[in-house]
Amino acid sequence: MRYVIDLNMDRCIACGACVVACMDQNDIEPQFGDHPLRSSVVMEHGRGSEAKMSYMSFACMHCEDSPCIRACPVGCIQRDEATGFVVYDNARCIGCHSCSMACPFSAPAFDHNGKMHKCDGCYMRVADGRLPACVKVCPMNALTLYTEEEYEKYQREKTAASLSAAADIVRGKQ
Amino acid sequence: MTELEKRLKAKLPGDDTGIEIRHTMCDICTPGMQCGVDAYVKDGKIIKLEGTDNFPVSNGKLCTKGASGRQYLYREDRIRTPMKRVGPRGSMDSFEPISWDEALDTIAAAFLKQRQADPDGAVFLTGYPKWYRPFLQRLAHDFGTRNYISESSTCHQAEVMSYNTVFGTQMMCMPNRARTVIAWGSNSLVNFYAMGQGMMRLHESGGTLISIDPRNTQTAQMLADLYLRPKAGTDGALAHCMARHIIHLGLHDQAFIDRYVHGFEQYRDYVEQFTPEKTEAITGVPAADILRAAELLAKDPTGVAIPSNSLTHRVNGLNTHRSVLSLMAILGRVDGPSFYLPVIETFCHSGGGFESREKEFINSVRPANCKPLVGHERFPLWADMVNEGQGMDLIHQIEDSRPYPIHTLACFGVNNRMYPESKRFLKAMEKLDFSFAADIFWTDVCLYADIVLPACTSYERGEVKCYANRFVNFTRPAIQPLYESRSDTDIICELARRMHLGDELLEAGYDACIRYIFEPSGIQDWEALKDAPLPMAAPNAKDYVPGTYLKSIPTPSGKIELYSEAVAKYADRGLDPLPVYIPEINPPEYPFTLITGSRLPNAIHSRLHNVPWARSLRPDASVDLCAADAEKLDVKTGDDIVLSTPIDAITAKANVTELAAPGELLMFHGYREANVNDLIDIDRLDPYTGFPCFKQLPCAAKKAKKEDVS
Repeated sequence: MRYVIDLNMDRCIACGACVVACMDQNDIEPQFGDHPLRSSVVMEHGRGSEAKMSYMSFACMHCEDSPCIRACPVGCIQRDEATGFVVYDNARCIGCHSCSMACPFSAPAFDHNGKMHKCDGCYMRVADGRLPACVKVCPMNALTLYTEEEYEKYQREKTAASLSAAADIVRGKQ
Repeated sequence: MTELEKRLKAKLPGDDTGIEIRHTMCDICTPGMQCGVDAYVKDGKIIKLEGTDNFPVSNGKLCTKGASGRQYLYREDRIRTPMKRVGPRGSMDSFEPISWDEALDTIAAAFLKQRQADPDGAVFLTGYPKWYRPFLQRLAHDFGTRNYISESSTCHQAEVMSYNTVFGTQMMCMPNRARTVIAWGSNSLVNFYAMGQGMMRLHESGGTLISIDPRNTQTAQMLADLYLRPKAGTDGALAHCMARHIIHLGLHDQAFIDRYVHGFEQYRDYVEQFTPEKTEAITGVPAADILRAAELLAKDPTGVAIPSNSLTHRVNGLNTHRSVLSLMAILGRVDGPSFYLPVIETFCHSGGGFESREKEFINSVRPANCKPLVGHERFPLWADMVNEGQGMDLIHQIEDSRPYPIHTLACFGVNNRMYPESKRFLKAMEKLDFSFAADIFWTDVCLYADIVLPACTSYERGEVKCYANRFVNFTRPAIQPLYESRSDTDIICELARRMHLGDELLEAGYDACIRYIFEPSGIQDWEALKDAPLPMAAPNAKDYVPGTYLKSIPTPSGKIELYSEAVAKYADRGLDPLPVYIPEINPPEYPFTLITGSRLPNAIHSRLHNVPWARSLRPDASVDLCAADAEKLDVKTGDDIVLSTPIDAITAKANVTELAAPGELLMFHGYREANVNDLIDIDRLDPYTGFPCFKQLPCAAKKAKKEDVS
């Protein structure tokens, strides 16, 4: 079964609870120079009463076609068959940053020893019937773990809902 | 990696990994959510925390702060053993470790000496934690003084006074049944996520949300159908203009007012001056938006305005908060299914759906014939309404010995940086004959005390807490207390024993006191409650029956008071029985208005500033200012900026964001390197409540020169 971690941007408030839960799960120590595996940001556009803020959280996208897997010269990165997440074992990592350069999102980060680490979807937790740490903690239920089938259904329903809302607007205008 | 290594790295519980899940709770923010926590424990150490599924209120979730709990627990600056000061105050080098026996006996001897001379010369002071407060207050009473003071002197108690002034009791409204909600000065998405989830549900289900806030927050951006941005401190005028419009349109509930409301005529005449044009000029909010907000609220019979306690943090704070409550009174939105309902605080400010014996526990040993409590002569309304001292007068009383001297101080979790002119708190400590500080971490107050005691966190102790007006939880320690630390209540009960105060109940310890306080709950088997995986419903918990409050309104007039008889007693002291709006004009040399203390997701007071996970989300002590002001001051994000008032100046980093309105600066408090409360005049207080002006302080700002940055 393949899984998707989805961010509902209508709910994310960029509080960073997911970032911290990820650090707790993965023993990330920013005070020693570890880069986090997940980030939350507020993007601002415009000024004063026109200002619009977007709040988001992001980590490795676990791409279908993962360029990092091919970029790694020592074969640290692979796809987990059970969950579909892109996972790694950095015992052999030489810190060359090839994975990071190949990644369109710069998702691979580096610990204070210079070794690559990244979001692995908490694949061991998911295989054990638990939620990824970021999804588990999210107080606004903005992050959700879906199976691929659930996700497709969710997307179809979302599209239907927005089409229905658009139709209401058009009818209202007539 | 082997399969076991992978399971260990993923921290999966099991016999093979030796990892066990134990139920505990978070007490970092208190007593709001206090989420249920699953601690993953291996070899006596917590290796991971997450929320407990199906736990009341929090239901498996944690906020940013609670998620940081493991690093909070294992902070490097935990106090490890009892310590005695043997050198000058203010330095870690001045302390040497002593035994618990020596520490407690030294404290007992010093306090008994004070007791013999004058029990009121001692003050029992507590900071942010609330879980042991009834115990500390009882200890003070046993000792022979009513000089118990909590940090609620700057947080929470003023809003309780506001509710008491208008309704005679504290009220609460959760946005569960309302279809129109005004979130007034609050961003619950960040500071209280259970309520934030309610606001989100309202928004997603097509309800109407109005945000009124100088700060352009997530609530304003994501949820609000209408966003009103008044200049800081002008909310009172805005509320009065809304009231005037509601009355002009005849949308007020005249039948309710006739039966239940006191002072409507005076109030109606008073708000008449707040015309839309004049109020637009005062608040900066377009008149059309003010009128629209008033109509949206008034025309939806389920509509409620929920004021935040941030409204009380200014010189005219109580009246500002009352102005919003008054709207609900004239609309008759009190004591109905979606409206304000009376709060029954069962224990430590949390509701269990029954009246406990907490007040009896505290007051049955209350001494008679005490001297006036700290701050009670200066703040008479506070004195009438609050059964503790107003701590904002403590520094003066230690400095000047008026109306009588204070020589001895007990501090539990006290942070001087919660006080305006924070450095003066430490100066005042130098004048004392004796002080001790019990705390989890080495704070500045510890460095100025004579004896320092190591307290433990919620993960290391057993603790009772009520939830959702029904449930009671009693945790067991998830791990043994670190180092030589003990729970605050163990320290308090042990002090009662060593001082021989003759209080058998307190001397019997925490569990015995809990059984006494919770006797009305109907809970019989306390060990079963401790073993239960989730909080249990108290057998005697009852749902509140709407309408009960209106049958007997506990105000002086027996009605909901727009004109407060409790305040009218002090008209000669300049207090106004009506919720008047008083404009404040910034002097030209202090053109900015500083707003401090608004919640950040990753901080609560100072307790997470030294936690790397939480701190990494916002590493700098920084000042939010809008792009237009940044250009005027010629600063960019990351530049040093100097804030100054007649009292002091501090240097912090600029953070350019439209969260801040033009002319307003936002800064969080509690940073050691840039303590914003150093800027606040110790005497710039609300005369009704004694509260400092955290949310409205005239201030100057400039780009830092090299010599400003140390």
